[in-house]
Amino acid sequence: MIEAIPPGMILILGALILPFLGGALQRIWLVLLPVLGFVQLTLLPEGLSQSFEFFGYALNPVRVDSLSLVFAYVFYLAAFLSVVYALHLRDTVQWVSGLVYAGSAIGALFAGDLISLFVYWEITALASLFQIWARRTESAYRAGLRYLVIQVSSGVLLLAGTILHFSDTGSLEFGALGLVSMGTTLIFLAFGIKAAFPLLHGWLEDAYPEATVTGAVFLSAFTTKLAIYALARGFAGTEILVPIGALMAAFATFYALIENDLRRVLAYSLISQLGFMVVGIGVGSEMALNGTAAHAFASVLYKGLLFMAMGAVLYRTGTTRSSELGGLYASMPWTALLCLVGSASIAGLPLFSGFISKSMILAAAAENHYSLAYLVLLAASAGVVLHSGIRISYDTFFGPDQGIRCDEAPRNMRVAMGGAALLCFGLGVAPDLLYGLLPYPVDYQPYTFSHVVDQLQLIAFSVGAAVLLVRLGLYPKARSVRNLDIDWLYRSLLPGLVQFAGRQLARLKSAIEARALLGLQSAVRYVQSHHAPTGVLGDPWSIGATALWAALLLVAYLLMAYL
Amino acid sequence: MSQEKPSVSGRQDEGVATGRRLRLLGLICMVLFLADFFVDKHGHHAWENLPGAYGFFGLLACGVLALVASLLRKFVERDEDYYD
Repeated sequence: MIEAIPPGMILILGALILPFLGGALQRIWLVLLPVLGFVQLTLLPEGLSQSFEFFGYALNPVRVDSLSLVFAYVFYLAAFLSVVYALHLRDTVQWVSGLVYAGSAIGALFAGDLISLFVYWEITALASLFQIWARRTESAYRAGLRYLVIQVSSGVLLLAGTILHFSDTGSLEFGALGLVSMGTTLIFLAFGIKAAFPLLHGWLEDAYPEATVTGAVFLSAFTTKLAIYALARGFAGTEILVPIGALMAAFATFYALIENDLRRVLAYSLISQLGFMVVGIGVGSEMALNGTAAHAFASVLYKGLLFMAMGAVLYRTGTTRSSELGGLYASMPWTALLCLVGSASIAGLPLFSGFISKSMILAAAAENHYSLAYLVLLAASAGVVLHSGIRISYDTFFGPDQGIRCDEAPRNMRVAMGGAALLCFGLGVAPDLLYGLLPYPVDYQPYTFSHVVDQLQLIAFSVGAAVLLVRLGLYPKARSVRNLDIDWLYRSLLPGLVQFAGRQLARLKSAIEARALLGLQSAVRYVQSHHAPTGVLGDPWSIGATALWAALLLVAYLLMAYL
Repeated sequence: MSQEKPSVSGRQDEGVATGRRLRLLGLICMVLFLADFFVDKHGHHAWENLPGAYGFFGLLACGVLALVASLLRKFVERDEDYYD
C-alpha cells in the first residue's frame, strides 16, 4: 500500500498540510514526515518500477535501484536533521519549502525518465529559493533572484537536451547517456550547473551564504548531491569529468583559504568535496562509483553538520565573519565540540566518515592511473585541514578571544548537530553500514595500518604546515574583504556593460540629433537665400516688365509655330 | 580597508602555538614518521613508499596552497561592500 505513493511525495503532500496545523501538532507533523518517508523507503522493493503512458510517451516516475536508494537514505536523514535544526523557527514558509525541496529532490532520485526528472528538477529550484528569500533582506532577495535564474536555466537546458535526445533516439529513459550527441551534451551541462562545475559554480558561493540560518543547512544537502547522482547515473566513466573534478577540488580550495565569511568558506569547501565525487564519476570503475556514492552520503552529513554549527554561530552572534570571531568555545562548548567532529570527518581523520569514503575515490583514481588527479585530490585533502579544520573550527572556537559572549545554540540545534555528529562517527567506526548500501559489492578495506598512518601523517603535517606558515607570516589570514569570483561577470561586468552600452547609445542619439539639426538649418538657409524677399527668386517684378516678357514669349512661340 | 587578526598561533599566550601544544604536535608528527618504517607499503606510485611520503606531501601541499591563495588575493580582493 505504502509503496504506491511515489517516494518523496510523502514530504511534498505532507508539507502542504502543514500550514493548516497549529502549535505542537504542527511541529510533531514536521518531524514525523521524514520518519514516515524513511520507513516507506525501507519497504520499497528494489527493482520496483511504475510506468505509464502519457500522450503516447512512456513515463517512468518511480524506478527503484540501489544507486537511487543510497542517495535517498541520506536525503531522508538530511531532511530529518534539517527539520529538527529548524524546529525553533516560527516560520511556516521555511518549513514548507524545506520539505517540498527535500521531497522533490528525493522524487528526482527515483525518476526513471527524463521528463519526470525535469519536473522534480524544477520543483527543487523553486522550493529551495524560499530558503534564501526567507532571510528577508535586500541582499538575500537579489541573491535569490540570481539563484533562481541560474537554477531555472539548468532546467531549461535539461528540457532542451531531453527533446533533442528524444528526437535522436526515441527514448526518454534516464539511464547511461554519455557525451554522444548535442542532446546529451545539453543534459550534461544542466547537471554541471547544479554540480557547480568550474565557471558554472557562481550561484553556489553567491547564494548559500545569503540563505537563512536553517536554509543553508537544507541547501547544502540536496541540490548538489542530486546533481552528483544524476551525473553518476548518466555519465559514469565520462573521462572529461576527471579533469573537471580535479579543477573543482583545486580552485575551490584556494578560495576557501582566503574567504572571510565562514559560510562562504563552507560553500567553497563543498565545491571542493564535489570535485572528489566528480572525479570518481569520471573514473567510472565500480570502486570509483561506490566511492562517489559513499562520499556523497558522508558529505551530506558532515557538511550539514558544519553548516549547522556555523548557522548556530550566526544565530547567536549575528555574524560569520572569521575576522570578528574567536574564542567562542567558552560560550558555545557543545557547538564547538560537534563542529570539531564535522571538521574531523571532512578532513578524513580515521574513525570519522570522510576517512572511509574519500579514500575509495582516491584509491580508484590511483588504481586507474589518474596520477595527476590523484595528486590534486591529495593536495585538496591537505587544504581541507586548513580551511575546514583550522579556519572553521579552530579559529572560531579556540582562536584568540574576540570578546563575544553569547548563549549556547538552542536545544533543537544541538540535538540536530549531535545526531549528525553521531552518524559521522558511526560511519567512521562501522563503515560496513554504509558499504552495504552501495550500488556495487565492496571489496575495500579502509582500516589498514598503512592507510591509517598515511592519512594521520597528511593531517598532522598539514596542521604543522599551518603553524609554520603563521610563523613565517605566509598564512592567508582572515580579512574583512570581498573576493571576486565568476558571479562578478553577471553582478558587476554585465550590468556595467549594459550601462556603458546605454550611455554610448544615448551619446550617439544626441550626436545624430545635433547633426540632423545642423543639416536642416543649412537647408533652410539655402532656400531662404533664393526665396527670401531679398533673394533673386523672391524679388517682386513690375507689371509693365512682366507684360513685356509675356508678349516677347508669345512672339517667340508664334515664330516657332510658323517656321 | 581590511582588518587582520592573529590566527592559529598569532599570539604566544593563546592558541595552538603555546609551547606544550607545539611540542605535542611535533611529537605526533615524529611518531607518525617513524611508524612509516614499520609499515608494509605497496602504493601505486613509487614515491608513496618513501617513509613520511604523505606527511611531507601534506606539508608541501599546504605551503603551495597558501602561497597560491595569497597570490590569488592580489587579483580578486576588493572592499567588503564592493557589490553594494
